[in-house]
Amino acid sequence: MQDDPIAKVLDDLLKLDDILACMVARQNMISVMPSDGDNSFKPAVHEIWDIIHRAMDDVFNVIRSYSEVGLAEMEFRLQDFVVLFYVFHETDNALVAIVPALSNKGLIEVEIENARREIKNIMDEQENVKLATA
Amino acid sequence: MVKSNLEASVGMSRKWDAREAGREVARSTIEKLKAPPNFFILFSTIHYKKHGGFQELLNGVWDILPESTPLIGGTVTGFMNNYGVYARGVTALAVSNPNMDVIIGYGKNTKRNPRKAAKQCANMIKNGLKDSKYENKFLLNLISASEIPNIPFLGRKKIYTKGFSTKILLRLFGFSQYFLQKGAGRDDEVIEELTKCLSEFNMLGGGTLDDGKNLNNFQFFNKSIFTNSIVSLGIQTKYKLDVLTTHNMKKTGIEFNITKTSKDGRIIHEINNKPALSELVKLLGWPKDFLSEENWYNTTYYFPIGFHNNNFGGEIGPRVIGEIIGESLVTVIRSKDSDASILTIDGRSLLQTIDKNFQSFPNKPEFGLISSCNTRLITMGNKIYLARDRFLNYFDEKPFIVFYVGGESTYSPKKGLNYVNMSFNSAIFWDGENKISHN
Repeated sequence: MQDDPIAKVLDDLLKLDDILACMVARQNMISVMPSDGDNSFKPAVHEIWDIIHRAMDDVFNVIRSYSEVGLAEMEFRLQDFVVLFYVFHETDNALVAIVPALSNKGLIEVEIENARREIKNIMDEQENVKLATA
Repeated sequence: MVKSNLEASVGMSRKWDAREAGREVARSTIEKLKAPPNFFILFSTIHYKKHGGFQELLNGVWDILPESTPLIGGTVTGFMNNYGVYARGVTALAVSNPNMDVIIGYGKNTKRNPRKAAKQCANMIKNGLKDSKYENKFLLNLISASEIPNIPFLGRKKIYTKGFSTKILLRLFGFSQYFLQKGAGRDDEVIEELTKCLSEFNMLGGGTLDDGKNLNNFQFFNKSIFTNSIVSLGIQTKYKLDVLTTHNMKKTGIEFNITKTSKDGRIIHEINNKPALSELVKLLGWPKDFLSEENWYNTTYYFPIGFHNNNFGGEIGPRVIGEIIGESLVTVIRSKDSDASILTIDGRSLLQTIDKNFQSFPNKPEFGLISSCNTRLITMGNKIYLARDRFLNYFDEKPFIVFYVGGESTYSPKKGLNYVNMSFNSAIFWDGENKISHN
């Protein structure tokens, strides 16, 4: 996991004060975590992580059903947190970020979008390598 | 097609360590130039304050940048360039060209004595360019924007409605403004004075900021870090240039009279002959205690006050409320216009502002600098990439930087001064007869 380039992108995103946790996930499965796993999540999110995790799975139900017809983003607010889902085009995978409900969301969105684009490029490269070696 | 010998280049770094980021932004900017740069403009987000500090950022730049290259810059909320849109990182633009004279200047204590600071800066620019033979004149002005005041006993907040009477709070605000230089940016006063001193220049300006918290901001001048200052880059060149402000904000239909202000028009005490805050909140249909530190951006900034901009043909311009002191509203731009309204804008109009601006330039750009209100970035969020497509279309592969600031302005001898909030302000440079056709 330590050398995973996608984990490095998540590490970078997590350095922003208002990103409390982030991961690449799909329904019932977290595909990539930051290099240090959930240990690197900010303390504020630990107490509520189990509930958020459960709620995330319900959201992924919707993402799975509608990503192919253009669902690109979703979010929900739970207590003092907002969970943002940035879907990877036409897949049921999403970059998930947990932020404080009263954060400056516009600026965070810019950086989450940059992370989504960077991860998408890495995924495409990995796919190309797979195809070339198949 | 005229072959240009003007070389412009944009670089950037997303490294977290200030020194490394400084080196990378300098290297990536100047490595594309064949000759040493005539100047270097640097924009950084506030993050390096906690990751090594801005002195280290500059030290990193000067590890790479040729000695004596004129450098100015400052902190911004975010930036867009040829590579993307960022709310974290550092970017720079450098130009190399033999047909260009360049000088940089500064003025200090802008929040205490803005006109003196402007004069100090203007004198440096004037003296530095007095022997220039080139006819086209440009000035980039970066001025420390408003910072949350530091009111004795009450600390740093955007809203002070409790603790003391409005009268006492206003006195304490005055103390913070003058002695601590924490309060209104007064960049409008700086710019007004500059346009008097350097009336033959075309100007583009913006107020340096942090990440929306308005706690502190910094200006860069060669190897030094300043606060509460103006830093300017003066250029005289054979290349053509023009500046333009557009904002596209519309009236909501909520109109009112400002019936009592401070002497300079910056602080609104009464609206419709009633205490300003209560009346404004009532007109907007908001609950009495609705405004808070947390929802500040999504409330006051989304519904700025429209005023007739007398410097700009009486057009309606937006100005935002920067502070609430008791029942009084401290605005970013001074105005004695009593005829006021609430303005607003939607996402489509935000994008049209860009089209409207670029369509006014008849020539293909060699490079461009754009100062845009940081609220435009915060409002658009990740949809800012829709705006970026327009930039790529207009600039093609020519370098540009959009820097997101507070209190933006343009001035030209022909068009006059346009200093407003929530706006989009461009300075476009072009060469010869390189015409563009707008579809």
